Amino acid sequence: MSRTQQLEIAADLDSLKQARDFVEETTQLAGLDEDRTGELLLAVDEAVTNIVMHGCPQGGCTIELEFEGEPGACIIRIRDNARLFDPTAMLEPDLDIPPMERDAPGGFGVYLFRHLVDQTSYRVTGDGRNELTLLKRMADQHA
Amino acid sequence: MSSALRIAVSEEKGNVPVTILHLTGDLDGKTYQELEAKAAEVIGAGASNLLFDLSGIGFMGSAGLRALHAISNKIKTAGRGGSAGKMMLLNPTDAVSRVFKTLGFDQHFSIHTNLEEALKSF
Repeated sequence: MSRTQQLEIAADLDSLKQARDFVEETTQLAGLDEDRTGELLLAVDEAVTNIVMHGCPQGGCTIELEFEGEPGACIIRIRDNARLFDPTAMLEPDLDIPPMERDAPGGFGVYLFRHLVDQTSYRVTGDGRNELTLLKRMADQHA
Repeated sequence: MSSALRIAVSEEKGNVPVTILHLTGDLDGKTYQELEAKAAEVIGAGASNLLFDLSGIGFMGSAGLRALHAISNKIKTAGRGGSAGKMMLLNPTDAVSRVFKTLGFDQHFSIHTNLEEALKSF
């Protein structure tokens, strides 16, 4: 049986800590280890930061976080009513360029959340909101 | 726990004067500009050797990395009389190392785990 929990926050930078606390508390209760929790935390922080800074710079938007615990995996869904944007369709930064030669390490938020979780997916919900789903497994597959 | 970033500044006299910025709290999309501002302030006051003590960072996102990268670029031209300044990092926590490693920056900052050795290496 899966368990879900939800948190609604304002889409502003003051809410980042609240979003991270929600992920940390729910996933650790579900038994996700510290390293994987840290990775998922970073992924969610980047996704939420992107929504705040790029999706809704004018303010006034709302973000809904949903945790779902499944056997062997933690799922975080992030729904927001900011500008429609599919972060999973973005090009990745070129990591072959030596880091200090890059002008500014922008675009890394998207890279981070794609590479720190096991699955990402995006859809527009029935009521017209962005929904980004991040899945983190409790252990490596075939381990 | 509060997410606020606290920055304490101290000076050490090694072979050269080193300004240490002790960071505590979270370095995220909300607080990274505070770090850039504090670094600009000490560089503006004449500091050209900066050591960032990261042992108190509970969380760091890519915004924190961006700030450190920007400060690193700034310090290269910050030395008095046109000489280049230096920047090093001390004792990054797992939360910091995770961002460096995932984005391939772990080899590109000078990272120390011992204060004395860090001071000597400037």
